[in-house]
Amino acid sequence: MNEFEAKRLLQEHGIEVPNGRLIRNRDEARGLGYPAVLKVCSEKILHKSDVGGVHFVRNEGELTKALDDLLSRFPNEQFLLEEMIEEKGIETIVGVGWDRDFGRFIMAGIGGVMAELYGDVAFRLLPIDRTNAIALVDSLRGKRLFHGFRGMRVDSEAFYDLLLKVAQIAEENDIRDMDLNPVLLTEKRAIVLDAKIVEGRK
Amino acid sequence: MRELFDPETIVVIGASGKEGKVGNLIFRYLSESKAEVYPVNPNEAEISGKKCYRSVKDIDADMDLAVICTPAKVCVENVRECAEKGVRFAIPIAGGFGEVGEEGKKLEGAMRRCAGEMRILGPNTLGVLVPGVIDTMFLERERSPRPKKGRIALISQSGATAATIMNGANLYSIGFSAFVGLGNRVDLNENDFIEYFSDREDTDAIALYLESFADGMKFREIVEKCEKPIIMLKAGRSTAGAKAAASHTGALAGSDRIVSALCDQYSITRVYDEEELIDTSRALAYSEPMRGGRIAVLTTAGGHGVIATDYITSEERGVGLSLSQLTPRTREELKKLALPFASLANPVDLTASATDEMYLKALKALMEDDNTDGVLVSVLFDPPGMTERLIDGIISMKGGKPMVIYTVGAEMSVNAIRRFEEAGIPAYPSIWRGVRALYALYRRGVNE
Repeated sequence: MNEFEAKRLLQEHGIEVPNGRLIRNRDEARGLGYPAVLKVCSEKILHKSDVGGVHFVRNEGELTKALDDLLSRFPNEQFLLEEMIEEKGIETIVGVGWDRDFGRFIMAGIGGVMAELYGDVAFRLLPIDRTNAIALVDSLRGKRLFHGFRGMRVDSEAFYDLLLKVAQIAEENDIRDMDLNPVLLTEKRAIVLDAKIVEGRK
Repeated sequence: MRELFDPETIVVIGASGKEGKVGNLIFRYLSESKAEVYPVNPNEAEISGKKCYRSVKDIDADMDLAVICTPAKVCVENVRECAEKGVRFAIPIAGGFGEVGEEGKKLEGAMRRCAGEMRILGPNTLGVLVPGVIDTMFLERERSPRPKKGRIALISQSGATAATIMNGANLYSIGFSAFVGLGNRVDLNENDFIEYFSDREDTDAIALYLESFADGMKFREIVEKCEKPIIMLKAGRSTAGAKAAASHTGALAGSDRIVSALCDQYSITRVYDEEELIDTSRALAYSEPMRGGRIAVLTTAGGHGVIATDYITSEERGVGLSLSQLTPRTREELKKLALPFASLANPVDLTASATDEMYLKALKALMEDDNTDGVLVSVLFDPPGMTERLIDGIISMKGGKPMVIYTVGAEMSVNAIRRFEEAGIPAYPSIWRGVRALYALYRRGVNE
């Protein structure tokens, strides 16, 4: 499923995602407001930023230019136009995978583009309860980020809630791979800024 | 499983009268058990004065266990005969099956198909050992001395690895309740035995050596139910070849991290080498878990106290726990010992002027200290006032809060560890191994 579909699925289960809609041309692009993010939305493109498939736009002129650029390079694709989330917070990663021995698992940790560099993530086999979710976060090297580090407060309860919901969605929909990165965790909420979901078992 | 671990009747197929043959060794060792043992070998009439049968089917008695010593190709036919005879368990010991390739895998398939209701342990296995009861291991006892009876069950996918571990354990008189070599697991696997040992009265800890899981989902189910400590050495940690990373999750996962998550989630103590496997199993088998992370250290060597403190309190190259703040009452007790140079804060260093009597009084005070969850006791025989009588005194304090001994030295230290082992007190030959054992007790307490 593409990013738009993935985010709708998350939203249906009470997970916060940015307001947004799918567009194919200039006419459909109006009316969301600025600043905004325009991304190519395709199951085939796994790393959008690597192929220049993401634009940040502050006004209609920039949006038009960005859309023309994406249309010229990805003529057969759709595009996701979303409000830009500018709240302060920490970037986390939440994922789901399938282990051939032990079945479905959830992963969470420090996210963003540096996620793989730091590798500060932890795992739990599904199903999980809240105690497991808390233990997972507490086993991270950067666990202090989740409990208010240097005056930066975040809503860790919202993060545990998100983990439990993601676990539930993965089990109910037979999801093989899920990659939510980044998930912005702020003082008030956890909001999924990017999402990839692949259904089925390996 | 009674027929496997304590059989009344055993048939040895491929038994031999010729010294040096596997079938000879196995028959001899099994003949020492209280079971009735029947040799089968079409080429011999009699072995060690016992009538030798042409086939298991010719024996006019029910068989609990068959130990099959014949080579892979003949072995499958022997398994079939045993199944037809109604034997309850078979241990085909030969290698040359799945581990050598496709041809061997086919033989395993054939073996599985002809087993019927008979259960199979192996093939490619050393079988089982219950000290004093049954020993199917084909290793000479002179080179591979068997351990004595103890409280740890060892389940190993590699028989040779387990044999070396048990051999080495003899140095400190470490005992085992039982050993099982899983071999190629055509039928019985680790899950069956974890379940079995979790109910066996003589077993207080289950030590596992695994390279792969026979059935991971079942493993989860079984370990969740098991109330005894499980200590696992899972080898084969490195992932060969990088996975095509379609997602961050995929790139970050790797099956070994999932194994670690499994261990965290199901309170399995994960260890990384054979020494830690047995060290940790002993701690968890012999001692109650710690109810918190505050440790008191008692020593006669100042440097030992410093080294121990580093190990106890450091996150890096240590276990990240804390030293207990001794209560005023404990400090009063310690003051009464009135050694001029002694340090009566934690770590408590009684110096080389210590005597057995002072040491035991100090230990008693620490064992009764309300701010302490566990005690690390160094037993060093270098000070002139410290003698082997100390050992009995320490043993008499068993049963209070968790206490781990370490000792550094030659024969006297080795003997001391043996004495503590016999008394069921975890004791180790280095500071680090003692601290690590306390940490395992702490983790167990947190998880309970």
